[in-house]
Amino acid sequence: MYKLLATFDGVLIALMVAFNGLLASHIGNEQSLMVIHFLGLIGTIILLLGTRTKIQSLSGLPVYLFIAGALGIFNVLFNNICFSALGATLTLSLNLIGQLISSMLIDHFGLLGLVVNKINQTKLIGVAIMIIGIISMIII
Amino acid sequence: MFIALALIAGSLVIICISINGQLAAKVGLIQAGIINYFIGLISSIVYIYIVSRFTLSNIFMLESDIPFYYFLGGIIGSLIMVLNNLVINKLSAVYVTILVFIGQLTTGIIIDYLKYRMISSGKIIGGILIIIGLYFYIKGDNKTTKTLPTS
Repeated sequence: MYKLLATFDGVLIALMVAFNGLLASHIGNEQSLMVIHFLGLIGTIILLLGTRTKIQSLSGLPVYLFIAGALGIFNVLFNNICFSALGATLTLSLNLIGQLISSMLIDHFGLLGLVVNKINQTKLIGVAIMIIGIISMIII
Repeated sequence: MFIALALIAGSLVIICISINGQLAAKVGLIQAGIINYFIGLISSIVYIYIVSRFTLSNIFMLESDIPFYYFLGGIIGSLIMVLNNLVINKLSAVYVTILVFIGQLTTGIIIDYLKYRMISSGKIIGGILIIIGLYFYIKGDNKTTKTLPTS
């Protein structure tokens, strides 16, 4: 059941990237960013009301915890640009590899306060096979 | 150039997930989502101001020929946030990462078929190679509690 949900999660991610990309190609990259975040905000407010979650105080939280939202707009922007140039499959696959390489580096050096987890041969083989996969998506 | 942008988008996801996880631990998942979208909205307005000095005419001229589902992306994003959290708590990271990617890949291939009117065998072969590589990568990763799925 949860396995099905996880797969459905992936389906939703692909649909989101596609819809956002299509919207951006119609109303422009900049404007679409604003519309997407506005609708996302409405969506989360509905979820908040629907689940009757209690609101917590924000006082005393370190400022850096709020940066993710600002960085997130570039994630959406880059995906929108890439969707029209590369299509859905390649954009999503490159996304995944970007995630894995950066988490591999973060773990290797123990950045962001995480435990050091060195790069090993098996991980590198995995990344190499994925890069071959990307190359075959581009050239075949 | 676009390839680099898509890779950077992936790295940003990891940074956002790490920070957002810490925020969600303090204020709860949904409130963290609201904060993120709110800051994202403010940042987009600042970004629009910097790059285009407010030419919002397009927004207010939303022609009726834009299908309504083009606007679903933002709302789907908030559902994904909750769904991610749900499956990560119930399944191991290995399953989550691989299953989410299989869902993305299948849907991506269908979307590209609708977009380009052809199914590329390279994308299917490449996708299978990526799943094999993903399996090796996860095998080489000795911590199993990692959270990965994308925003």
